[in-house]
Order: sequence, then C-alpha cells, then structure tokens
Amino acid sequence: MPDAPPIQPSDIVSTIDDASVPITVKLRDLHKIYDSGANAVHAVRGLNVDIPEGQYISIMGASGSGKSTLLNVLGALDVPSKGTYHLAGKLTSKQTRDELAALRNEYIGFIFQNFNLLTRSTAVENVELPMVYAGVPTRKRRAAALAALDKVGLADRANHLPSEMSGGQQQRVAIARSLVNTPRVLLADEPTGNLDTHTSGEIMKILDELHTKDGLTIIIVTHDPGVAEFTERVIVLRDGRIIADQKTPRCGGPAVPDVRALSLSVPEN
Amino acid sequence: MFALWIECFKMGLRELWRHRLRSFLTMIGMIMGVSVVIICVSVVQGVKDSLIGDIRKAGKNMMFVFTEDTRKGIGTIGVQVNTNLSRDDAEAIELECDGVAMASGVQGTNVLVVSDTSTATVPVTGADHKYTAIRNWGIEQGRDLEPFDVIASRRVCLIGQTTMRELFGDRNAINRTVRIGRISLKIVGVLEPKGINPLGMDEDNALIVPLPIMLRDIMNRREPDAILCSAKSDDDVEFAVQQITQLLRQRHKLAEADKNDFRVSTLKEKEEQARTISNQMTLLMFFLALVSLMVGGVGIMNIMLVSVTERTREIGIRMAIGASTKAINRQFLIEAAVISTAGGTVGIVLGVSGAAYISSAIGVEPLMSPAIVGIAFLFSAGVGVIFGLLPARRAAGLNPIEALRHD
Ligand SMILES: Nc1ncnc2c1ncn2[C@@H]1O[C@H](COP(=O)(O)OP(=O)(O)OP(=O)(O)O)[C@@H](O)[C@H]1O
Ligand SMILES: [Mg+2]
Repeated sequence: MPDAPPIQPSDIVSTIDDASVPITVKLRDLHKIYDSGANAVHAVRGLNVDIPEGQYISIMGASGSGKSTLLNVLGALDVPSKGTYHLAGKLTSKQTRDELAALRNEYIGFIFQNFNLLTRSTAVENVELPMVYAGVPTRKRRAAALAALDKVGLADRANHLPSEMSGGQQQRVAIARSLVNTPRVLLADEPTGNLDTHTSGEIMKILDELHTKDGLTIIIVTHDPGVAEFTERVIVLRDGRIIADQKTPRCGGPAVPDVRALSLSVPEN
Repeated sequence: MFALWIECFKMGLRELWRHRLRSFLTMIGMIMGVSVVIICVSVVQGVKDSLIGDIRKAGKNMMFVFTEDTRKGIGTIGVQVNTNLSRDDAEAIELECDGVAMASGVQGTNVLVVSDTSTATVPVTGADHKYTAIRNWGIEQGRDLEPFDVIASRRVCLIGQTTMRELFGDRNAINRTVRIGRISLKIVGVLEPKGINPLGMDEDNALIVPLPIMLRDIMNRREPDAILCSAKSDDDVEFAVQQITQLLRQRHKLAEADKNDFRVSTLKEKEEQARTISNQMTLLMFFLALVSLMVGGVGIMNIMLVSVTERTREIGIRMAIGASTKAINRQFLIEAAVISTAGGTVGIVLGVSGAAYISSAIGVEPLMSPAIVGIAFLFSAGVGVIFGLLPARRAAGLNPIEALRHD
C-alpha cells in the first residue's frame, strides 16, 4: 500500500455535552481486589463513572494502573469485589452467570490486544461463533459472518486460519466477531497494542466509523495518546483511582496527558 | 437451541478428527468392550439355541425313568444286575397316566456286532415298537419294529446310518444279517440320519433290537434299567412326571417315608439346564464387558480432562463471546459421547463380523438381535456421557477471565 495520508478523526458528531442522553454504564464506588492467597492486590479502588450511550471514551494509565481490570468488569467477564455496576440500567451483580453470558453475547462486543481468536478455526468460523451461542440458524449465520468480514475488508480471507493472517487482519477478524450480534457497547483492551502505526490507524478508522455511523458506545483502553485523540473523552487511572476525567482536544478539552509523565507525577485527588 | 446441538456435534467430530491417533487409542477400550459383548452374547445365545434345537430333536416331549439304587451298604459287585423297573411298569405308565402318550422299556449296552465283512462295537438298544415314535425318528428304508416283533421276540433289528456304513460300507443293509454273540438278527429297517446329540455322541451309531431279545439273549437279565416315555404335549411334561412318580411309588409299594427307587428326568430339564448355563455365561460376559466399558470410560474421562486443560484458553474465548455454562458443558459432554459412540460403533461392526466368523467356525448360527446392537450403541453413548460429566463440569465451571489469561 502506498503512503496514505495520515488518518484523521472524522468530524465531531458528539453527544458529549448532551445531558439528556441515557447512561449506559454507571459505576458507583467500584472496587476490585485480587485475593491470591497471602498478598491481596487492590487493582481498582472506588471508581465512580457514568458513561452515556453512544460515547466514545478512552481509558489511559500506566501499566498496572487497573485499566484491564476495569474493562473486564465492564465487559461482565469479571465481577467487582465491592460497589455497583449498572449496565443499561441493570445491576450486573444481581445477574446469574448465564445471564451475564447472554449479556456478553448480545449486548457487549469485546476486542482484545492479543485478538483471542480460536486458532484452529477459520476467520469466518470465528466470526460465526457469537451467533452460534445466540442460536442463529446455520445458513443465516454464514451470510452474516461474511457480511461482517466484508465490512472490515476481509471478505477474501474468510477461509484463512488466524495463523495465516497478519496481526492487523487478525484484529479486524476480531472486530468483525465482536460486531456480528450488533452489540450496543464495544470494549477494546489495547486493540492496537500489538500493531504498527499504520495498521493501528486502519483499526481506529473502523472504530471511529462504528461510533459515528452506528452510534455504538465504545470504551477503549490504550497507552497511545494518538489513539485517545480519536475519542471524545479520556479517563486516566493511577493505582486503581481516577486521576483525570476530561474531554479530548477534538471536543474542546485539554491535551491528552502523557501517561508516562503522569505515572511520575503526584495524583491530584 | 437445536442449532447449538448440531454445532456441538460438529465441533466434537472435528476435535476427534484433529486428534485422530489419540481418539483412536482412547476408543480402544470402548471398541473392545462393545465387540466382546456382541461376540459373546450372540455366540453364546447361538450355541444355546442350537443346543436346545438338538435337545428338541432328540425326541418329542421325552421323559426318562431310571432305576435308582436305594439300598444302603450293598455294593454293585454282584453279578445279578438289579433294576426296580419292569416292562409292566412301562405298560402301566402308558395306560394309567393320561399325561403320557407312549412308554417303552429300554435297555442299552455296547456290544460287538459282526457282519459278513466286518465288526464294530455298537451301542445297541433294546426297546419295543414305540421307540422310534417316541424318539421322533423316521425310517429311511424298510420298516419299523412292529408289536409282533416284540411279542414274539423275533430276531430282527433297525440299523443307524453310521453303523450301517461301518458294517456294510456302501452296500444295502436291508435283509442282511448281523450277529451279536451267537444270535443272528435280520436288518428290517434303516433309520434316518439323526446327527450328533448335545453330548457329542453320534446318534446314527445305533442298532435297535426288540426288548426281549436284548434282555434275555444279549444281556441275560429280566427287566430293563429304564423306561422311555413321551408326554402328550410339551405342556403336559411336568404333569406327566408327577403322574409317573405317583404311579410308580404305588406300584413299587413305597411307604410315605421311603425315597423313590427310580428317577424321572425330562428333556425339558436338560433344556432348562442349557438355558441356565448359557444365560449365566451371558451374564458373566456382560459383567466382563461392563468392566471393559468402565475402563474405556475412564480412558475417555482422562483424555477429556487433558483436553479441557489444553483448551482452557479456547473455553475462555468462548465464554467471553457469550457461551453459557450450559453450552460449554454440552460441548464437552457431546465430545465425550462422540468419542465413545464412535468407539461403540466400531465395536459393533467388529462384534457383528467377529460373531459371524466365530459362529461359522464352531458351526452354530449366531443369534444377532438388533436389540443387542441397539443396547450396545446406547450403552457406549451413555458411557461417554457419564464419564464426560466431570470434565464437562470442570470446563463449564472455569472462570472466563482466568481461562482467557491461561496459556
Ligand atoms: N488475576 C490477577 N491476580 C492478581 N493480581 C492481578 C490479577 N490481574 C491483575 N492483577 C493486578 O492488578 C493490577 C492491575 O492490573 P491490570 O491488568 O488491570 O493493569 P493494566 O492497567 O491493564 O496494565 P497494562 O497496561 O500493563 O495492561 C496490577 O497490579 C496487577 O498485578
Ligand atoms: Mg492491561
């Protein structure tokens, strides 16, 4: 591919200042303690966050600050040790394992840094998988999976195994997989962490489109200020606490803080 | 939800194919178990059937009355052979017991029989004219014994196929004579072939002579050792046995406390014995097979546990994208069932062909009921499900996050 012009965030179609938008994610005094025997790790310490529907938000922070922990709780993959998490008005701690599974299946899309594709299944089979658990009939499933792959520009790789694809391609398969059940919330844990700048740009473009065109709520964990600049709002964590929660420059906020610098500075609260 | 079942089944098959060698080794226990059950059950049942068929062939609703020595302290050294039965007993049984159709005194012994060209030791039976009817034995050539032969002690005899061949080769034996000691007997009839009896004896090695000739001329005794009877119908056998017992006790003037001085045995008893023995064998085989299936099941459980550990990350991914515990559970259960039923199916094929081969080798018709095949199939599926329970539960119980982090 010849040198394309640097990919820029699209024009702001933001609801960030609209107070009437319903809250999708509501956290109150959220704690997560990993209790592995003698030494307990207090990974998240009392978060209070509201994320309105359709918001595009990034979570930043130094390594070990609790970003992944928070995202796993948001994705209903893990349960908080203390505090409440309401997703679309429902208290997740009240729900059974299988109700949470159904939530992950239908309401949430998850994208991982290391893709987490089934290595022995082809791209299209991977994309079909969420529909298998949603009980979609085989034929419909195949068509929808191919359409999703087409959407991320991988129609011609449908029958390839993950091992036969580049990292960027694998991540696009993962994005297609996260989208096939038309979720309302998309969670991405360092989706570009393993990719070069150009490929990152491609991935960010897809996410950006999902936000602007489909109005998805997107929560993205990143180290990269460049990635955070695509979003509307940035939350910065340090040692499991929020040290900054602000608009990004494109929505009129201050510059996205440099994570490495932050980890050295004294927390503000 | 049906789609999920099919999907699980497909995933199971694929996983099976992916680890072909491992799956095959795991299946061996099942294959052995199932094929051994099928071979054993069908061969044993086949042997039983042919045994019972042979017993039925021996005669129609046959009953034997044997003399039994009830005196104590007297050895069998004496020359005089004692019997508690008599020809009159036989006659009385036939006349007075309404469950009995026919009765004939019988006396057998092995003696040297001489023809004009050769000699042979033959089991000779003395009986009256009803003998062939009771034994359900046809005459191939010539005639049967007649009442007059017996009454008049005529020196005639019937000859079996094997004996005829031994004594006369390919020549026609009718109207020729054979000699037993100093007595010459004219062959008036050739018996139909009857084959090997359940005790392995050749029934066609036989010479039938009128009872008086046997007793007086050949064995030098007064009365026969045994009475051969046939009941009127299969259902009458037990009733007839009772009647005979009662009648003989009365005729022998036995007191209430005395033991029977005779013994009545029936072919039905023999049939029951054959049936009991073969059923016991079948049961034994069944337990052996059960053990083998258990061993196979444990093998499956073992490999499934390994598989769950190996695929922890896969399970985590599936859970992360919304697989319920039920779906994961089902996936591994079905996978275990697929392995075991695949083993079971191979076992059925091997078992059926093995049973056919072995049966033809020992010369019986294998009894292959679809029920056995069906039961074997269901059993093998059941083994997979039962021994898959633990691994499947372990897989379904994994924490999604920890499973995802597993490498
Ligand atoms: N399963 C676990 N058991 C014990 N401690 C854990 C576990 N997972 C995370 N932690 C701890 O919790 C803290 C937060 O971890 P987390 O993975 O959320 O950090 P992060 O912000 O995502 O870091 P990174 O940027 O390196 O991914 C860390 O101190 C980590 O050691
Ligand atoms: Mg992390």
